[in-house]
Formats: sequence, structure tokens, C-alpha cells
Amino acid sequence: MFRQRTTIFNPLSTHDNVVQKADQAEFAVQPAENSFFLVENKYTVSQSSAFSKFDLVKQLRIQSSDNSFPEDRVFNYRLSEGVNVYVTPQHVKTDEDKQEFFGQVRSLLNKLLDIEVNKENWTKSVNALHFHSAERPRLDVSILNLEKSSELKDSINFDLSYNSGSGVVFKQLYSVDSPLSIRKQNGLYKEIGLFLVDEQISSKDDVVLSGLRVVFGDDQEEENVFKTLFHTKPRHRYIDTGIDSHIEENGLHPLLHTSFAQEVTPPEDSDVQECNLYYYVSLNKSLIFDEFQSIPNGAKLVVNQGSRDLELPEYKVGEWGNEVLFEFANFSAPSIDFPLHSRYQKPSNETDSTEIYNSLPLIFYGCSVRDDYLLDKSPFDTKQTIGGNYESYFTNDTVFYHFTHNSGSSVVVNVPHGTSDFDSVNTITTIAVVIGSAIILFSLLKASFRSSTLSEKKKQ
Amino acid sequence: MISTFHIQIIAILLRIGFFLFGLYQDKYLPVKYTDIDYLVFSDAARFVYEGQSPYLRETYRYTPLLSWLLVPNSWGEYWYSFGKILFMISDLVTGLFIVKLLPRNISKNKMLVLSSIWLLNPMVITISTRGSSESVLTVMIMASIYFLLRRDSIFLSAVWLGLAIHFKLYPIIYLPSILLYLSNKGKPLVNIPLVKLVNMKSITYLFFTVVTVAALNGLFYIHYGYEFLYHSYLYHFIRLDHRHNFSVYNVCLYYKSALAENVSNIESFAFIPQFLISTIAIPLVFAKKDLISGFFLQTLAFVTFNKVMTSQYFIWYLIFLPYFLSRTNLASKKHARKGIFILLLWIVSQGSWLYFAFQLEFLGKNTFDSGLLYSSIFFFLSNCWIISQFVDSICT
Repeated sequence: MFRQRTTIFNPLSTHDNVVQKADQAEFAVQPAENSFFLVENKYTVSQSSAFSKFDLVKQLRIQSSDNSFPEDRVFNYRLSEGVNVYVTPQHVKTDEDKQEFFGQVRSLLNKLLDIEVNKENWTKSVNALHFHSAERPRLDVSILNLEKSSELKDSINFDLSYNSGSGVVFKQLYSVDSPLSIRKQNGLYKEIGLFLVDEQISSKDDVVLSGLRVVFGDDQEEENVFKTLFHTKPRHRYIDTGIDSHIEENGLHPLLHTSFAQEVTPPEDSDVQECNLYYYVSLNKSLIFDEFQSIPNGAKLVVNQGSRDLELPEYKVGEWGNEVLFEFANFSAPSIDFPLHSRYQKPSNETDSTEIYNSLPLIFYGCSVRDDYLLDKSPFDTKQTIGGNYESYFTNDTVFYHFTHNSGSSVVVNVPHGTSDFDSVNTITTIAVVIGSAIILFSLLKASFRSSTLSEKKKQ
Repeated sequence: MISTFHIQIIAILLRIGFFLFGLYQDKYLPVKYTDIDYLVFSDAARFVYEGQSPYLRETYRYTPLLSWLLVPNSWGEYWYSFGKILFMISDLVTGLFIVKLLPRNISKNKMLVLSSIWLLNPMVITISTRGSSESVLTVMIMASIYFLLRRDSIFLSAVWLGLAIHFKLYPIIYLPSILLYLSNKGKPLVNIPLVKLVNMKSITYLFFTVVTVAALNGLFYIHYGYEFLYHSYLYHFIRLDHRHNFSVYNVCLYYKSALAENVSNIESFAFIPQFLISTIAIPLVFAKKDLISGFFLQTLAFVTFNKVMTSQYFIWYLIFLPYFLSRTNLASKKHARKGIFILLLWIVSQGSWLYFAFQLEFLGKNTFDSGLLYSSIFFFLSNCWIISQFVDSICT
């Protein structure tokens, strides 16, 4: 069995004409004209049979995002675009256990996301192993046995947390611009919230949500609709300055350029203590970050997880890529340039270059704040012991002020590759080496013969 | 009248000028002057300075000796250029050895021209002032030859050669030539065909060379263990240099690296022609006749047949070029046309490869198959033909 919490966020300043029906059996809402709702479904499954076979997996977190909700002030799905998987083992003592663990994880991810993740593909993160792909694999939600919920969607933005001790929490985010109706379903506990931000009494560090809370359950009371108003201290906050990132092509040495629409200054909210600018990016394994030469001007490298090999071609690199985090103290530049190098690609006679998609960098101020104990009191807080990309590298008293990309969701790098085949190249090279060797050996033989003739003549 | 002393003064001034321009370019221009390798050496030296292993620096594949030599680079501020200055001094000392090894009977003008080939060569100056360590190696090689031919010191020559072999392994190709050369310089121990080539001088030479190499390798093995052996030596045998370089094997290596299974191909047997020509055939023909010209041809052949070839490798044989030009008839008026044709062929064949490499590296165009493959073969065959002409030019 599971419990469902559906949060409907109304981005407007009023709920007028939004609620169409709110009674014991149905809660129906309709967005204002040209508006929409952001909806998050959260499912809590205390015991999931789907995971029982995977007894060596202690924790698993799968986060997927396309960063398509810049208006989101409540939920946080700001991650490297694509899928991010975090996993930790349990009861793993021997090498055989280790093999078995990676086998279980491979099988589990194959079932859930239809992707193959092998032992060598993982990188280390805080407290967990990490895998990232800029592609957006679909989650097969059927494995979670949540199909009973009428609100369950096929969304690209989701956050699945499994803990062997406490079960599964699955959250998904989507937007709707049409009427939405949530009905009571027997045997299913549903809690629905409709909220907007009360701008008059809200600030960035104290967001006041007001609206309705509706409860459907088998033992629900007569009164199941409640007016609600509560304060949250958000961990993720937003800066109005837009940013733009693109690749400046330079052959095998592309440059990831990010520019700020206007001058940036650190946040000055009342709870903020100290801030630094951060640049986080999940690099595809086809792109090389040279930590000795390619650190952007003014930056300090904080994290570089993944392959450190600066020479291997793409097809010889096991890890999915690299997770890189830079810190800028006293940042004041109009842009950030991140120099990269591309790895050689596998030859193929179909095209003469490979298109590499890479997630956009996430740029934010990380600030320590007062009253940090309030941060994880928020029902929408996302920080956990594992996962969250950049989140896991910061202490609990950190809040994040995000810059939003004006457009695009990823950058593309074209890397040329050979289009011939090994056999023909090997044959051509062999002929050349044989001819070259013959030319030299012939001249040496000639010289040797000439010398011996000369010495014989001298003797005579 | 210009003398070699003046050439040396100009050589020093040129190096200082290039060095200062490099500092300016690094500071103010987007394209940096300093060679990437210099950053690698400096990072490795910093690890040594901090009491750690130089092999913590990714892509540091050299003897720890180099990183030890560059420890002052880590002392801060201007000391960062210490390595470049060391390389520049080594490059000048190499030039002095080149002059000392030139035949004594050549005219003063010829001496000036030949010494200028190294001392005033912009390619040589650029390589050392950008921070490439090749000049440290060239000092060792030239010192070894100098002590052998000009000072008759078997011991010092062997020690310098041992040091050079420890530093970069390939100078081992000179050992057969030197042993053959020495076979004429003493009484044979046993008068049996072939074995009579061995005498006390050659045994002594071999002994001190081996002892020097073994002592240095032993010292660093004790200090750094297997990672020293792996990065300094073993890696060079197992590496698959798939990234584009001048070598004729390069495109083949790229395709081979993408195969799922390891297969034997021409590149697997690359050492056979390389070994046969540079370590056996050329020494047999030249060791007793003209040792330094033999070294030149050995090195040129070794580089031509190597599985990796970058422009820094050209320095390896350039140190012998002035001497070779003093001996070859290609520098005479009679054969000047041929000499110029050889020079142009070398430049054009190299230039054709560089053109396609630029297209790939900086314009992102696929030039592997029609460009790099055939231009590397053109360069390779040109080099082979040039070697054959050089052989002819010495022996006629």
C-alpha cells in the first residue's frame, strides 16, 4: 500500500475561480486563462516487493530532470539535465558480494530505466556511487505498483528514493494547463494541497504558502477541506539574472562559454551569512576536463569525480564522465569560460562526426544561512544523505541561489571520427612500411657492397 | 669578422629574447607560449617538492630525475621559469658540444654555418624556451660522444650514455655502434670470428653503461616502486598512441584501438624494421667508418619508424645534423640541388601532414582517412628516401 500527496502550485497571486469543486469525493481545480499549475505527486510506499530481490542495495536514488520549470519556487528539480542515479551497498564484504551487488544494480536499473550500467561506469560521490546520463530514459513506474493512483503520470521530472529500511518515496513533477480533478479512491490515502505564494508577506528566505488542503481516505472525517497557510524556508532560491551557455567550437578543444545577462552580485537576504559563486557540470565522458590546465579564470576546483585519464579515447573510458564543481570567490566577471578537450571517437562509416550532448552547467550562489534548522523542516526540502548532484557537496546550512538559463537544455559538441576500417588502413600502412624499409635496406646493402669493394681494392 | 664566439653570444641573446617573449605571450595572449609538457613537469616537480611522487601528475611519463631537477620551479614567483632556463642552458651546452665535435679540418665559414644550424635554429630555440626537456637529454648524448671521441674517456662516456638511456631509453640504440667502434680500438680478448670484436675497452664501456643505468633505475625503483617502472618504461611499450602524430602507424593505431579484440597487425611488428635498420644495419655499415654520421642515420631511422613521432623528436637527430653536413657531399656545390630538393621534400611532406592535422585539431574536420593517413605515409616514405640518399652521400 502507499500514501499519496499531491501538491498543486498555482503561480498566480489568487485562487479566485480556481477551485471548481471540493467535497468528500472530488477536488477539482482549473487554472486561470493562459496559466497553468505545477503539480507534484509524492508516493510513499512503506514496503515495496519490487526491491525485495535486491538485498545488497541499501539505498537507491534516481533523479531525473529536464530543468523545464524555471518558475518553480517550491519544488526543486534543478539538476544536471538527464538522469542521475545514486546507490549504496549493504552486506557487501567480499569481492563476490561486490560483483553480486553491481549485478543487482545493473538488473534493477535495467528494469526501472531500461539502461545498462556496469561496474566500471560508476563514479564516486558523497556517500554513494553516482551515474549520470544526459539522455532522458523513461522510468517504468509499473515496477512501483502505483498504477492504482489516477494521478500518476509519465513524467521526465522525478525523484525516486529507495531505502532498504524505510521503503520507497517517489515524487514526480509536471505542469497542467487544463482542468484537474482528483477523486477519492477506496483503499488509497490521498492528501492534496493547493497553494500559491503570498507575495505580500513572503520573501526569498521565508516563502508563505496559502491555500487549501484536502484529504481523501477510508477513515476521513466529515470535514476534509482545510484552509492552510504555512511558512517554508527554501533551500533553493532563484536569481532573476538570466544566463546563456553555448559551445564555442574550436576543433578538438571546445570551449563551454556561459555569459550573465547582467552584473552579478551575491544575495543579500536577511538570513544569508556568507556566499560564493559555484559552477557545477556533469561532463560527458567524450569531453576531457584537464584539472591541471583548464580551470576557469578565478575559479578553484572543488570536485572532480570521474575519469582522470587525459588521453584515452571515449570507447576506452569506463566511467560515465566527470562531475566537476568550481568555486569562485568574489566573482565579478560577465562570463565564465570552461576549456575542454574532446576524446577520440569510435570510427564509423555512417557519419564523419559524433554528436555529443552535454548537460548545461548549473550556476548558483551557495550561501550559509542563519536558522538552518528550518531548512529541512520544509515539506519540499530535497536534501538527503545521497544524491542531489551539487547538493551533496554542501553542508546542511547551505542554501542555493540559482541562475536560470534563458534557453536550451543541453549543448552539443561535434567530434570528428574516422570513416574507414581497420583492415584497409592496416593494409595500406603495411605496404608503406615494407616499401620504406626496402628503400633503406637497399641503400645500406649498396653502401656495404661499395665499402667492401673499396677495401678489397685498397688491399690489392 | 664573425667568429663562433659571436654566434654563441647571438645564440644566448636569441634565447633570452624568445624566453621573454614567451613570458609576455603567456600573460597577455590567448594562445599560450609555454609547452603543455612544461606544465606537466612543473606539476610533477611540485609533488616532489611536497614530498610526494611525481607520478601523481597525470601524464607524467618520465624519469623522476627530471622532476627532481625542476624542484626549484616550486619555490614561487620567478622560480617557476627555472626549468626553462635550465633547458636553455642545456640547449646552449649541446651547441657547444656540437661545435667541439665538428671536424677540425673544415673552413671557418663552414664552421660558422654548421654551428648556426643548432645555435641559431629558431625551432631549437623555441623548443627549449617553451619548456621542453629534450635539451637535457641532448647534453647527455653529446657529452657521451665528446668524451668518447675527443677525450678518449671510456668511463665518462659510458656514464653519460647510461644517464641518457635512463633518461629516455632510446639512446640505447647508440650502444651497438659504440661497441663496434671500440672493437677496433683494442686487442681482441679471443681471436675467434665475431667474438674477436670484444676487447677490454668494449667490455669496460658496456659495464659502466649498464652499471649507471642499473644504479639510477635501482635508486628510483627503491624510492617510487613499480609506478616508476610503469610510467617511465613499461607504459611506452604498451601505450596505444591513438591521438594524431606524424608516425606512419598512427592512423592504424587509432583504428586498432577501437577494435573489441586485440589483434596482431603491422603496428605489432613495428619494432622489427625499426630495430633491424637503426640498431643493426646502420651500425654495421657506419660504426667503424663514421660514428657520428652513423648516429645521425640511426636516430633519423629510429624516429621515422617509431610508433609515435612529434616535432620534438626531430631534435633527437638534429644534434648530429651539423656534423653530418660536414661529411656529406650533399652540402657540396656539385650536389647542392639534390640537397635542396631533400630539404624541400622534408618540409613539404611534413607540411602536408600539418595541414590535415590543423583541419582536424582546430577546425574539427574529419581528416583521418584521406588526409592524415596518406600524408603520414608521404612523410614516412620521404624520410626513408632521404635516409637512403644520406647513406649514398656518405659512401660515395
